[in-house]
Order: sequence, then structure tokens, then C-alpha cells
Amino acid sequence: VNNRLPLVHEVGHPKEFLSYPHGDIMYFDYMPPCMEVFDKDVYVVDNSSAGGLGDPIERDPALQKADLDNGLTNEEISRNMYCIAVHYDEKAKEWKVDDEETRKLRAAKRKERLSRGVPVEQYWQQARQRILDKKLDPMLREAYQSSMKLSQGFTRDYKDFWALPDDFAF
Amino acid sequence: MSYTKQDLKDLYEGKLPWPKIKEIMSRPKDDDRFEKYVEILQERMPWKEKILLPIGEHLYIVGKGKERIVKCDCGHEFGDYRRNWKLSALIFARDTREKLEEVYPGIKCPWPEFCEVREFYCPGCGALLKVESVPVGYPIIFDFLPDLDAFYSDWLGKPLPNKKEFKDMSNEVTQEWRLKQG
Repeated sequence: VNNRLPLVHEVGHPKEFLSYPHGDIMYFDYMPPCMEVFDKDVYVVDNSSAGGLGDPIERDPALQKADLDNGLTNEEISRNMYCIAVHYDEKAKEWKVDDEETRKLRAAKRKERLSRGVPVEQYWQQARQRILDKKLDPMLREAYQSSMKLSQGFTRDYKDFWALPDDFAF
Repeated sequence: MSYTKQDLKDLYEGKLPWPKIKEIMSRPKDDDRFEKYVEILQERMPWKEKILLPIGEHLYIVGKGKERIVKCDCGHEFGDYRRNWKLSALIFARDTREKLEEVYPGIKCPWPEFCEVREFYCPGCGALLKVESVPVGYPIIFDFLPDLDAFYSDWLGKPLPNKKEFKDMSNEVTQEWRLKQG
């Protein structure tokens, strides 16, 4: 603060927790405990941005290029999430999209989805068995049980969807 | 109040200049927007069934014979619109740390004991149609069951033929699955 350094704001790789604050960093998984804070302590909430609308592999590459040129994203996200092939053109000092490679990446992603996706019926049978066997985390079982106690509507919908016996309880 | 079809087409395709968008936003809704919007969508489809209501980026409720079904723009058909279309899709459930990390790397990763991310794909074209993030064991969510007959008769003033009972029939599908199991 005394040196008037920038505030702890940054756009970065979600895997790398804030790279530039100095000093002792206390890191909390989710809810911090009650604690005393002092002058010049900094409390940072590291959030990811909100989800977008639609299929990521249909994103307009021109928009992704603009985000890259503005330093808002990176090559890895472009390739893995949006299936957009890009490279940085050192001479032109800007990002370039490889349309042909992008088309190939996207076609391959569709193929991958069709092979890793399973019919919902198959998924449902397995998920149902897990519920019947009550192989859910105890906290979740408690949450469902308490919702069922509170709401007949929820109980009916839940049992109907999973086709559970009337006397089922977590 | 009405806009030209070209303006609405440009709006849909993201080509309408900002001042024009601002003008549309600041005015009351145009009277024939729905009809024109559906016409624009219909012209883009490779199939002929009439669009009754768009329900997603790729999905449409269309009239087919006397039935109303959900159809993907690629042509894949999901069946009666009163049965959650997700039940006829392909699913990829991110239910392990490894699968979740692909989307939420590092500390942003939810705990697979509690949270599951379900991706629904079109079996025809492999488009990602919907993602839902739910507690493990939660029923598959039926996003939207429109009351089509009420919408067409009370809002558009043009009742649809072949009236259907307004009823969520999704659980009939899962009952059938259970009976198959014996």
C-alpha cells in the first residue's frame, strides 16, 4: 500500500493462485474462519468468471482472437475449451487463428463427445443403483433426507424420477 | 410496431449496429417479433417441420404430423416435447476429480463426492446442448416445459391444432426403464 503497488487484481491461469502478492499468504479452501484483521491486510476472493451461453466449440474465433490480443485468455484455453488453434505472430505482434486446424479440432471434439457420451438410460440405471445402495456421501444423504422431510412434492418427484420404492428413505 | 425481417435477421446474427440495437431495446416489444423470428430460424433449418417454439441454441419444438416433438437443427429427433429431451440424449457425467479438472483446474475444482457436472450431447451431431451442475444423485433437470397451447391461443391469438394435455411426462420414461430392468 505504501509503495502504491497495483491492487490485487489479475486475470490469470485458474491453476496458479494469485502470483504477485508479497508477504504471508493464508489460504482457505472455502469459508475462512473468524479472525482478526489488521491495517493493510488484504482479503482476496479469487473467483472464476461466470459460465457462457452455448457450445464453446461454436465460439466465433474472431472474438477469441480479440480476447487473446487483450490478454484475457491464453492458447491452452483457446485450444482445449473452444477448439480454436492459435499462434502468436511475433512480427505482427498479434494472435493469429488457424482456420483449417480449428475446423479439424472441432470435428475431432464432436467425434470424441459421441464416443464418450453414453445413452442417458445407461447412466440412469447406474445412478439409480447407487441411490438404492445409498452410496452417497453422508452429508448428501442427510441433505436429501431433510428435503424429503420438508417437501412432499420433492419426495414424489425424486422417487418418481429414480423409480424408487414408496418406502425408500436415505 | 414492427421491424423489418432483415433487421431482425441481422440482430439474430449479431450484425445489427449498436445504435439500432439500442433503439430496439428502448422501445416496447414489436408485435410480430415471434412470427418473424421463427420465420428466420425456419429458413436456416435443413428440414421442413414447422418450428413451434425454439427452446435452446440447437433445439426446437416442431410439429410433426399430429405430434409435437423436440428436434435438433441437425435433424436428430428427441420425441414428445413433454418428455425431457435430455433423457434421449447422450450424457457425459464429470463425476471424478480428473474429469472435473478438465473444466475446473486447480483450486476451482468441485468435490466429486458432492458435485457432478453433466454434459448432454446430441446423438446426431455431437453438439453440446446443455450442461447442468448438480449434487450427486439429483434427478436430471427438465429445464422447460412450455404450455404451448396456452401460448398460442392466449398470447398469439392463434390456437394450435391437435391440442395436447399440458403435463410433464418425463417420469413415464424412467418408469419404462425400470420395468425393462424387471
